[in-house]
Amino acid sequence: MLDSVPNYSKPFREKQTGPLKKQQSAVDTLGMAFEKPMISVQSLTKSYHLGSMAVPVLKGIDLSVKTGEFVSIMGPSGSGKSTLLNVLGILDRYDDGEYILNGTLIKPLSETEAARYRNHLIGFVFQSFNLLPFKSALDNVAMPLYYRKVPRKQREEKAKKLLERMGMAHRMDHMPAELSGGQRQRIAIARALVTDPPLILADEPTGNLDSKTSEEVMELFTEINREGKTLVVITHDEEIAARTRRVIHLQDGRIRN
Amino acid sequence: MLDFERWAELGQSLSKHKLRTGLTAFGVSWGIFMLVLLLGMGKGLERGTMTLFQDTALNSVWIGGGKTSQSYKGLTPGRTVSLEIDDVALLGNLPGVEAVGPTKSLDKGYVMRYGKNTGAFQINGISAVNADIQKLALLSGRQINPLDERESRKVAIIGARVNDVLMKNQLHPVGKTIFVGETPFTVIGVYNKALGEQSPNRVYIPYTTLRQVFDPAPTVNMIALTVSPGYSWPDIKPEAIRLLSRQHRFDPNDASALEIYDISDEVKKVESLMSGIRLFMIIVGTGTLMAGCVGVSNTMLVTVKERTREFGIRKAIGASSADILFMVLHETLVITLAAGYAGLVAGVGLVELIGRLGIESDYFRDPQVDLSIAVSALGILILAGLIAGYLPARQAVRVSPIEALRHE
Repeated sequence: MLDSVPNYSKPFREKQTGPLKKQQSAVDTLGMAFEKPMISVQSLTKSYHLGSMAVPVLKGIDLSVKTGEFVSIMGPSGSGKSTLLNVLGILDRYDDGEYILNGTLIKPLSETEAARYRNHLIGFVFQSFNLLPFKSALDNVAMPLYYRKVPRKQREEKAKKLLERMGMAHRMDHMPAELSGGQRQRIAIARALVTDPPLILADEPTGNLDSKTSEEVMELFTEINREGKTLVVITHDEEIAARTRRVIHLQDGRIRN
Repeated sequence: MLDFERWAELGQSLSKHKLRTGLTAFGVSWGIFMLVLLLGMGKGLERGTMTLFQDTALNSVWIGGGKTSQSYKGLTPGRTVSLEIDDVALLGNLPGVEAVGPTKSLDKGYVMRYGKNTGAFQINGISAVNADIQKLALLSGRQINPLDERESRKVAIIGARVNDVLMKNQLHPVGKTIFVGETPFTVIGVYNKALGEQSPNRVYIPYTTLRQVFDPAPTVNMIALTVSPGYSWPDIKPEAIRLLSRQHRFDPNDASALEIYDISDEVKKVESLMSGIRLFMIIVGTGTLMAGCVGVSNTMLVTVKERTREFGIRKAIGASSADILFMVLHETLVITLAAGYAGLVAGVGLVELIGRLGIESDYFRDPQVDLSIAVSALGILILAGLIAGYLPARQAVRVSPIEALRHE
């Protein structure tokens, strides 16, 4: 399966820069073959409880992301985009409504169930990378497979292949602290891809990177999307949002159209 | 548990904080070390104390004359009751009495001589039966036998200290002749321990010889008797007292007329004292161990706080609550078990060393950690590890990935 993954490192080696432009998405490439939605959210609400007071954060979200889409969710701070990401990422529960991810109704009854869904359906990419500082790049990438009880040899093989394609083979045994921000984010992206999940959720993935590295990361995302993965990027950066196929604006707990 | 990755994770996590891990581990080591040491020493104390009874038969009862405290048949209280040799025969006829014999010690010391050396020592007269009851611990030679007694032979068992003073610690004192006053006595044995003596500095001779040579009065200081199997002293006591009270004319209910020491009763008292001490040591030792475990628990709690982010990441990429729980529990268990085992080995080692070096006194000998101590210590250790690990593990499970992954 991994052998079909295109070589991501090539564009970096060519140091492709230039103006940010809209990239072709998988949906364009494959026509409308994937009508089945990856994410289907209906009338989703979520409130936080401060003492006896309920503070509504998500006030009825309707959202649909098709398989193979590359979308960004934008919104000012306090608009509920972090909460939405947590719900989409099965890191948090929602009160009412419905969330169907890849055909599965996500209403986990237990932590363990939620962890299993996360492991199988979603790859996370974070602003602050969130690599384990005492593990090598290779170990970090292989980690999600450990929780899937994949044997060590297979884990490392898979992780190695991904790192090679990210152009990070020579940094395999380095600790995160020895790597640059861009390199770290590429490790994190490799980690998100290692379980081959249908959805990649990225939370401000370029927030800690300079503009050149940001562009490289977005380039990488475009490549991943072209290969068929659905990507949802949360950002407040217009330029980053502009490089995705669709921008969803979130304001005051609702989607603005 | 055999999962290599799990051990690798553990190694990374522990080696990151070597000093902290080491210090907390020391707490547990020390706890189990103290527990084992206390219990081992308790065993030594118990054995030492029980050997105090070794120079006497455990089923023996010692009876001596006392002073009356009640008037009886017109006689005033405060009279001295003095037991005599006839009483020995009287008691010997009672059912349940196995053997009975007199002892008598002379009030003053006698000057004794061997070659040019002299010294004053106390003389005790005992019977052959009594020699069995009293079990003088002999370094060499033999006990006084019925023939010595019947023939009033001039034979003596001397204390090691007497040998030291008179014969300058001669290697083979048995068969040599010492003079008590002008009377020659053949040494038949040397003892180094006897009931109620601080140091072995007396001379034991047959009771009959003592009467013939030094003091013809038919009195005895103490009558020693042993109780037949199947009987106990309380079964025999009323009849024995009745006989003696009739003979010496005192009220059978007068508790101070006779001085009675029931060794089996004393043994029971000491045994219950020992089990009390053992219980105390278990409590103190376990307390020390618990303090160590609280230390581990505390450190792990702090560690869990510091590792909030790590747990958050692990959860985000698919670790279940059980994975996190076992990870933390595994760490605590490994620290407590490894450290505890080290403490156990050190404790057993020290106790063994003390035993090997032969450090002993009147109340202490042969300390030992027996298997039951080691096994229960191990059990306590595992329990302590689980208790120490539970709180931090629960804390780790409660880490919410959202909180943990929040932007810095």
